[in-house]
Amino acid sequence: MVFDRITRIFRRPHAVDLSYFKALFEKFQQILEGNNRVLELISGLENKLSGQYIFDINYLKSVVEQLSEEVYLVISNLNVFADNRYLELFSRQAAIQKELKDIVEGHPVTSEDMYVIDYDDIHSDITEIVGGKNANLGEIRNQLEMLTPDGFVLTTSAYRRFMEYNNLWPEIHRIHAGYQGDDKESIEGYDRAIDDLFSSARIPPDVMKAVTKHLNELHKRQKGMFGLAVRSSAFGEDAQRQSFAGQFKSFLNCQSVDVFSAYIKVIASRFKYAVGIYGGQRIYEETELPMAVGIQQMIAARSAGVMYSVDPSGRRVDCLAVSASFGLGVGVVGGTADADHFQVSRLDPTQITNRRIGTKRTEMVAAEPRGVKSIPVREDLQERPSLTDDQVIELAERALLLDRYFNRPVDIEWCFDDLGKLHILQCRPLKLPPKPRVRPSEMADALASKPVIMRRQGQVAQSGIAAGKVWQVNEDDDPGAFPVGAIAVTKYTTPRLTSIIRRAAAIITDAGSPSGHMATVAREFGVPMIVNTADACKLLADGEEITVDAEENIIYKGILRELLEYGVEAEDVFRDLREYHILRHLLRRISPLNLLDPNSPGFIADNCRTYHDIARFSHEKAVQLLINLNMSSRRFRGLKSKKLKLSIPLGLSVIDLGNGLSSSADASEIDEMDEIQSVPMQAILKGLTSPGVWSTQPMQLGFGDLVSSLTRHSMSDRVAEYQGQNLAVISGRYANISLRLGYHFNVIDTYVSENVNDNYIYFRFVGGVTETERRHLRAILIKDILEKLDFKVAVSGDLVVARLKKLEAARVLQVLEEVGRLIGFTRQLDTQMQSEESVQECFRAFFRNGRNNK
Amino acid sequence: MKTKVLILDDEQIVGERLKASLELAGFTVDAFSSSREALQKLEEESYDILVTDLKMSGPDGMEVLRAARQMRPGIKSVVITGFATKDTAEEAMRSGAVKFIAKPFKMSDLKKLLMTLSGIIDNEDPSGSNE
Repeated sequence: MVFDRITRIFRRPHAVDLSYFKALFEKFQQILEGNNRVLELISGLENKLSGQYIFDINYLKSVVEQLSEEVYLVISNLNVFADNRYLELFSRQAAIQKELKDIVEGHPVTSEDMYVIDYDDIHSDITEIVGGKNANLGEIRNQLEMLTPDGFVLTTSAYRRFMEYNNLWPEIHRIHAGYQGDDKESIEGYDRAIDDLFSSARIPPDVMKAVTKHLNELHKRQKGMFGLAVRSSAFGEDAQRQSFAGQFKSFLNCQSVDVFSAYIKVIASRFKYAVGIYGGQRIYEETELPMAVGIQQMIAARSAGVMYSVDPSGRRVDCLAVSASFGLGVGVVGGTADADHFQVSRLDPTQITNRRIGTKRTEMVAAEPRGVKSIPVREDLQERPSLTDDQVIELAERALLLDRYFNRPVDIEWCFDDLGKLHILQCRPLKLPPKPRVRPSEMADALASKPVIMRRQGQVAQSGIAAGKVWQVNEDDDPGAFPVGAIAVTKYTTPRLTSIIRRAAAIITDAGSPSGHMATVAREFGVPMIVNTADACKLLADGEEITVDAEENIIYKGILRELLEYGVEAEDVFRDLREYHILRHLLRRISPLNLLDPNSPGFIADNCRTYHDIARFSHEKAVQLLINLNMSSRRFRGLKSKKLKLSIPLGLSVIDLGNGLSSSADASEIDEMDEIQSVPMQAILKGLTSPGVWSTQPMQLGFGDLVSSLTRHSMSDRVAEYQGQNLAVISGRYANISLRLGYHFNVIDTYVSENVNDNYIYFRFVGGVTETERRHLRAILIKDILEKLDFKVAVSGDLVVARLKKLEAARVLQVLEEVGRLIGFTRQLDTQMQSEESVQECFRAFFRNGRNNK
Repeated sequence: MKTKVLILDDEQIVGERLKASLELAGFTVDAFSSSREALQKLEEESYDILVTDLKMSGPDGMEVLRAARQMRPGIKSVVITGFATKDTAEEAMRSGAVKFIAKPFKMSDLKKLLMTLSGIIDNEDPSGSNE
């Protein structure tokens, strides 16, 4: 009903009716509230991904339902508010809701009978289909956009089809039952029987057809001859405390015609005796360890090797380890070749802390026409490092990015090609010896004596532990300049800083909220984050070494190794539960933020791909619309407003949308300031009416030459002409003030609540009586003042547009008071801006007067 | 003496993972997915703490709680469940549970609770959670 009524009102936009504005404003508030509920639900879900929670499918179902409902409501409210301008959001929401429902009900998004998937289409949410290592490669290729080998995966569905088609399981059980001894003879007999069984197995025709098609396409993409690597990737192999590292077979440099026989051998290797010893009875269960197999283009490697994002020797948790050799790196991976070893600081990956250069007499290269061979390394190169220092640093940075992204220590195979480009060949969790997760009490004692810079300031948005050097970031900084592994300290949380999140060890902000957009991205990448600390930028100096404990919310001076050691221990015992896969899968449709920049042409409803996108889009549009709606003061002409009596001759009328005035203020005039109950309006008026701000006398500027030029042209006597156009539309938490003072036009639009995400101030200033240059100088002055007050400001000619968002209510009110003073201040400046120096003089005068008034 | 914990959750994998995690924290743990088997074990052996789900086939969680109280009067029982309502919580407490935890819960909170119950740490600090 209400919906209809409001829609009717909206269809007569010229009708002047206070209830119309009230209803619209209510919609605006509902959009904000809905947006907040959506963000809170999202961050609640993301928290569950940390690996520290136990939950079940009913929980996921109920949160997804609530979320869909809330998003739908936000869209409905936005469309009422925006006169149905964003109807396409409904279809976006419906499509996402359908996908979420399918996921939560267990209908796989990727079809069960899909035998082959290109690496371009692989993400971690189809781990069950492509196996852990392939899923990671897909993430690295498609999310992190690093180079990985081109190719495709034969899925676990292909494996099941293969096993069924050849009726292999009953035979395997029979062989297993037949060889129970652990003497050499039994073992060899068992392995031979498995080999014989698989050598007679055939690839099912439907699987063969799919593979051939993908091989041809890969051939086309590679434009000609190429070798292939055939690599195992079982689902569940990285689960629990086993890694099955090196247990399954891989084949390097195959030709297309070899792919099928290599595939069968890889599958056969899953059933070998040694695997049974390692994996136990589990390998004989049909549902366990389904095997996916990657078919990858070979990279002609100049040098290659492995690296661990945490040095697994256990002595230096603040270091990572790189091993490298010339050629394909086969020996390095297997641990058989003499290689070069580098140790690099995790805290500053440009620091190589240790190096051991081995004598590399041979290297592995691709053989003709297939396979690999060992050739001698040129004598003069044998003692030389196989990597330049720059390459070691590039590798170290990459290892830290992947460690951060997967939120756990990782073990990475890599190579540099002929052109010196780095390719990631494999990435899997690094198993470190388990340690107790509950903090030992000795640690608390040890930490008690450490110097603390900040304790429990702000809120933890993503828990975790990190250490490194402070790097202060401004919104306009080049994200590429941010050093990998540094700790980002910044005033605001803004989605524009998203690109540094991947590089940062931790993020600390002065403002913002744990449910804000940037916090969501930090959780997505598992980067420890503390928001809303008020003065991190002040307390944490650029370049200072600190340790961030985003579990207890304490920031220590210096690098605390004991804390760091505890921090790298990722508890991952729950991460491979089915519910976690479903949750990850769901979150892919819920939480990534694709609409980052409201000024970009891509910021449109059709581009909303997740619930987070829809929430962000709706919030942004609602605020824009409200500002534009109230900027046009013609809309209010003829509305019943109340005159506000002030100690200054401002001639301000007030329209109350609800809770903006006290109930006693029912006359046509508001006599007392304290009848104003609108919190932001109070703050602005407080600044505006503070002593000296509205003086018609020369200001106490302290620079005589300017003073003489200003009094004669004071605008105070002209204000009368514009009375009636100074209007405030207010509610308890909202104020929109349109002022025409002299010849300039000033709009302030602001909303203040307990929720940091809602809070904003919009400031717009234009016009003047003097020539263009002076008006521009004045605009520059206003810009300087507003920037000092932390606004983001754009100036074009004499137009100043400034925005401030997501600060705590108390801070917003402080700023609004300053804005009030600024309104009075600028009124007196219309004619006096003559030079750059006068800008600086006035700037100082503004803040000096502010201090004197305190 | 290590604290002995018996876990009962009809999802075998959840029980296994709880066991792994609690063992890291220093407990001795047996995990069961069948309530019948769990009760049988409880009859044979003494445990300090029982951690049980509610919704299960066979004897359900409430019955397990009551049986455990009868067999082992000193045992401290903790309920973990995805179907948390005020009524079920009250019934569980009447059936002998000392604590009722709704899923989702944080593993560290469960560990802290069990440590409190076993006297390893003095008091449970609810502010330890980040949520």
